[in-house]
Amino acid sequence: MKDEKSLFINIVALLILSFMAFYIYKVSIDTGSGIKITDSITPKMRVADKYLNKNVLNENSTYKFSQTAEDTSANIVTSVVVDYRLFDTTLEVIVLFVTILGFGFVIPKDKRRVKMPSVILYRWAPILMILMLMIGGYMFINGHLSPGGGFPAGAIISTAVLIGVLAGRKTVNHKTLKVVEAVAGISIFAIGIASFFIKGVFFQNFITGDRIGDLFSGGLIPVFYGLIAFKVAAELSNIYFEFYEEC
Amino acid sequence: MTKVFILSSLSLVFVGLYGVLTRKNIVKILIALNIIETGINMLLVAFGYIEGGLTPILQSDLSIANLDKMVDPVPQALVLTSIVIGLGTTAFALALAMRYKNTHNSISIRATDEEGVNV
Repeated sequence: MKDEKSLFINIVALLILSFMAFYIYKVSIDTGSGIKITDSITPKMRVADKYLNKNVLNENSTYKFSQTAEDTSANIVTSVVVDYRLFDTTLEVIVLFVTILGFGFVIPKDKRRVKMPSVILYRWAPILMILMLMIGGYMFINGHLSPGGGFPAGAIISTAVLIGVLAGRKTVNHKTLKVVEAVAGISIFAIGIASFFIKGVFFQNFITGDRIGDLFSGGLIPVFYGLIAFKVAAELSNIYFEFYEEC
Repeated sequence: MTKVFILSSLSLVFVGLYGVLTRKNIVKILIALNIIETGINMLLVAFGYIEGGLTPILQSDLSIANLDKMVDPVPQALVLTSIVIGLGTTAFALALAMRYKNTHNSISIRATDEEGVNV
């Protein structure tokens, strides 16, 4: 590249950046009055204090483990993603869908040579794929109990599809992916509309009475996370097919 | 410890900004943007970190008693979705770069039709 290694541009960029970095660091460790973003010692300063102490509506509400005080999951991050902020999550899935749609329009449809895979990859791909599908399935089934969930599970499942594509094996075709994506996307909103008719609030959790910590607990949370996993897996596999397609 | 996290994530952000400002190669600029994204995700998680904190998962009665000691789950939930969106936007940008290469026969951001052939 021309003038990429020019000394003047690099020195000016370094000066500007060090100036900005100094001021941002100074602001972030500021100990004046106001919101202290690095003060994590006093729990009142944290954003999620209300959620953690479960006193959003009532000051005196407490609950014990394995009891039916609230219809959320054991993993608080999952509760935030799929229960308290479910609108945010579904709309982010739609953002991902629109991105993949634009990707399909923009990518040039020229002839690309695809190298033949080696024998080792061709033979080992199915074994790796089975292991990856197993881990992905475990992740979205246990998303409300352990770290993980629908988005990482979708990424892992689509990576299994990518290994199949790289090894030159026939795994799934475009039409199956589109059907899976459409069915998952429609079911998310269908469950939302159903909860509107049952409970009166869009995306309200209407399966109640589970014990926190069980495999089948959290009501609709595992259902939503499974649907999100399939949708994300179908969308990401679509990317790999578009990149490696021989058209 | 929080200061270490914030300093390292801010340095990642500024390494990425330096790359965006000085490089001319589109692929290098995209890698720099991904470094910025990683730094910002790390910064968000670092804001919710507390000294000797627990993971925000209700495992037993002990974890109910120590709700104050759990790290903040809201930034982690935001970062979880932001990573997936980052993958989608990176794929879109790479597709745009492929199209740019097809039309200009170069991946420099300074390329025009004449000079781009040799860059």
